[in-house]
Amino acid sequence: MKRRKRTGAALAALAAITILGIAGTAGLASACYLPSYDPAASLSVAFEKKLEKVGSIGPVDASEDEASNAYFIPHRAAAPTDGYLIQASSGSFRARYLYSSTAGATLGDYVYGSTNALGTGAAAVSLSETEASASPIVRGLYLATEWSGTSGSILGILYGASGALSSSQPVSSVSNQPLYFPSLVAAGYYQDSSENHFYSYLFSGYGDSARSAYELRGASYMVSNSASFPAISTSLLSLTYSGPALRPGAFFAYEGTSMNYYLSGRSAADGSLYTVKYESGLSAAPTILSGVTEQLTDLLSDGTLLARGSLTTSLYNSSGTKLATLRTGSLRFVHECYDSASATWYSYFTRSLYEPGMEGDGKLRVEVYRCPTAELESLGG
Amino acid sequence: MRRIAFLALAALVLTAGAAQESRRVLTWLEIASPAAAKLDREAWAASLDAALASSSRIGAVRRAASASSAGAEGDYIEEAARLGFDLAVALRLEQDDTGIQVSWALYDIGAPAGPEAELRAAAEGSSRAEGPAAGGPPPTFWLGLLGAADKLLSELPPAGTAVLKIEAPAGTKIGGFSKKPAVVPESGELELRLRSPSSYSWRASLAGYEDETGLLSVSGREARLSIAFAPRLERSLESGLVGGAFPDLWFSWRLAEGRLFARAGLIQYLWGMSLRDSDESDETPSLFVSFGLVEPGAGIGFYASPPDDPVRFYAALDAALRVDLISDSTAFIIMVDPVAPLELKPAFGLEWAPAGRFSLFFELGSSIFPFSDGILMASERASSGSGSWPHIMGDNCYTELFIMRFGARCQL
Repeated sequence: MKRRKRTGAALAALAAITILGIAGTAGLASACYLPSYDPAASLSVAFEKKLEKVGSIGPVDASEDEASNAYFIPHRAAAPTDGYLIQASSGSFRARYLYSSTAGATLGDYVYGSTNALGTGAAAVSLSETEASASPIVRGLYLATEWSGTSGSILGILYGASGALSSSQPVSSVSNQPLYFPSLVAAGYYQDSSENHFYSYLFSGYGDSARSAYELRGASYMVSNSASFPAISTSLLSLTYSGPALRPGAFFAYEGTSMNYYLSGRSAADGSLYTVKYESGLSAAPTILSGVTEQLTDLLSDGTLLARGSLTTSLYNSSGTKLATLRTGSLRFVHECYDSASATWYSYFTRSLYEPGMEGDGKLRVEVYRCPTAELESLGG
Repeated sequence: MRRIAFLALAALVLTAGAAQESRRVLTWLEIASPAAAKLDREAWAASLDAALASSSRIGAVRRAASASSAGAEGDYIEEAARLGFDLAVALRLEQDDTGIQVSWALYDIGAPAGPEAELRAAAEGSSRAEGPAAGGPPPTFWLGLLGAADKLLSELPPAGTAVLKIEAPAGTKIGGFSKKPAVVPESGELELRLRSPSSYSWRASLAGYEDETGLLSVSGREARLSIAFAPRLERSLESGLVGGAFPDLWFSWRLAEGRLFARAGLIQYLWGMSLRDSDESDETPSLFVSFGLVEPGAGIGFYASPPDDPVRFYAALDAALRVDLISDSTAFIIMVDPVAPLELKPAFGLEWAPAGRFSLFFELGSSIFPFSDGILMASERASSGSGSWPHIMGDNCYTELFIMRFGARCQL
C-alpha cells in the first residue's frame, strides 16, 4: 500500500513537472503559431465561383523572394499559357516570364529595374497575339521605371520569343525640360472597343518661369491594334492643375472614345484622395469626382472605372458614381481581352498562390479566371 | 458453607482460566449512607480488588481516580473509557442497624451508548453482610459479582479490536481499513473488524459519484460509519491557449462513468499573444495578433484511466466549423470559410488534477482541413505570417502538425 502511494505521488509529481515544462516550452516554441487564414483568399474563393477558370500555370519552383507580393499578368489570349510575374514596389520593378509547356511550368528570363517611381502603382500590360507578332516579338509593356537625374525612362517593352525575355529601356525618355526635377507620379492604360491601346502618364515638377509652382505634364499615346510598337514622342502636354501635390503611384488614363482624362491619386501632404475628370482635353478645369472614395486603378473598354483594393474592387461610372463592389479578395483584375468569335469583351482576373518551403524555397501556382465585362456589375454583392 | 463457597470460587477461577484474554477493570466504591462512614473503606476496596484479581480473565484492576474525590457518578465510566478499560465495577455501601447492604453494577465500557449517550449497566446485583465488620468482607462475599463479571467478560470480543459497521450504497469501494479495498454488499451494510483504539484514513468511491474521504477514530469495541455520496460533477469548463497564443473556451460533459467525454466550445483568433522575433520587415512586432476567424466546434474524447487517478492520459477528436469575420470598406461579412470550411483536430492529452475541482492539461495534436485546396491553404499560411509550419499537403487536404494547447479545467 505504501509503495503504491509512493508510486502515485511520484507519478503525480512527474506529471506536474512534465505538464508545466512542456506547457512552458510549448508556449515559447509555438508562440509563432498563427492560423492558416487570409481574408483575401477567402473572398477570392467565394468570388471565383462567379467566374470561368481559363488557365492555371504551375506549380513551379520559386524562391520566396521571387514570389513575394507578385501578381500575374497573362498573355492577352482567351486561354493563356504564359505571362509575366510582376513584382512592383517602391524600390524596384521586376517582370519575369512564366510559361507552361509539356515539360511543365517554367520561370524564364526577367527584366529588373532598380528604381520604380510608381511603386505598386506601376502599370504593366501584355499585348495580344496580333500585337506580339512583330519582330522582335513584343510581349508586353510596362510604365514604371525612372532614372534620377536629368532624364528618365517612362515606357519599357518586354519582348522576346517564347521562354526568353528582354526589355528595351528606355523606349521613351524625357529630359528635365520643361519641368525641373521631374518625377513620374501617375500612369494608366486603356484599350478601346477597337482594341487600340492608350498609354498615359504624368510627370510632376516645377515650371520654368516660377519654380515654386507645382505642375503636372503628361502624355498619352495611342497604338493601333495591328501596329508594331512605334517610336514614342517624348513631348509633354501641359494640363490645367490646381490640385494637391500627389504621391507617386497615382492613376492617369485617357479614354480615347470619349476623350476624357481621369486622374486619381493621394495628396502627398495628408494622403487625402483627389480624383478628377478632364473632359475634352487637358486644358479645361477638371471636374472633381466626389463619389469616388478609393483611388482608381483601371479603365475598362466600356468606360467603367475600377478601384482595386486589398479585399474588394469597386466599379464606378464616368461620373464617379459607384456601380458595384466586387469582393474579389486576392483575385486581381489584370486586363480585358476581346473574343472576336463571340464578339465579347472579357475581364481577366488572376491569383498567385505560393507554398513556402522550409529553407526559402517553395512552389508557385497562378490561376486565371474571366467573366464577360458586361456582367461585371452584376457580380457585386 | 464457607468451604462450598470457596470451592465455587475456585471452580470459577479455573473455568475462567481457560480464556486467554486478560481484561482491565476499573473499580469505584461509594459510601452511600452516613452510618456507613465508619466502615473501613480501604478494606472493602482491597477485598474487592483481591477478588477481581483472582479471576484469570482479569489482568489488571485499578481504582478509579474519581473514587478518591467527590466525583459525580459516571465520571469513573468516562475515566474507564478514556484509559481503555474493558469493565467498570461500581460498588455502593449502605449500613443500617442489622448489617451492610452492598449494591454493585458492572459496565461494559466498549458497549455502544444508549439513545441519550448514557451507558447502561450490563449487570447489577446486591448482597448483604451481617453485622458490623471490622475489616473487609471475605473473598467469597464477591462470588455473585465475580460470576456476573466472568460471564460478561467471556462474551466480549477479543481485546484490542472493534467492529466497524459501515452503511453505504451497495457497490461502494472502501479503502484505508485493510490492505484490499472492501466492497459494500447488496444489503448496504458491511462489518469490518479493526484494531482499537486506532485512527484510520479512509476513501470511498462509487461509480457516478464523487469520492468521499475521512478520518475515523475507533476507541471502543464498536463503531459506525455512514457514507453518503454526492453525485459526480459531470460538467466542466475548460480554457486553453491554442498554439500557446489564442484563448479558447469549452464546456465538457463526462460520459460512461468518466471514461469518455464530450465537449463543445469556441476557438477564437480575434485576439492572441505573439512572441515572434523581430525581423527585417517588422522591426517591432506587436505583442498581440488578430485574425477575423472563429471556430465553433464539438468533440469527443477517451480517458485511458479511471476518474480517480490524479494523472490521466486521453485522446480527443474535435471538429470545428471555420467562420470568417471580414470587414471591408463597404460591409461586415460573416461566412463559412470557403477555403477550408471544416477543421478536424485529433489530439493526445495529459491531465493532472492536483486538488479539488481544478486540473491542468496539455494537448498535442494536428489540424486537418479536408475539402480544402492544399496550396491555397499553404498560401494563406504564408500570407498570415506563419511561414513554413510543419504540414502535409494534398490536392484536397491540408494538415498542420504539432499544434499544442494547454490550459485548465474546472468542474462545475
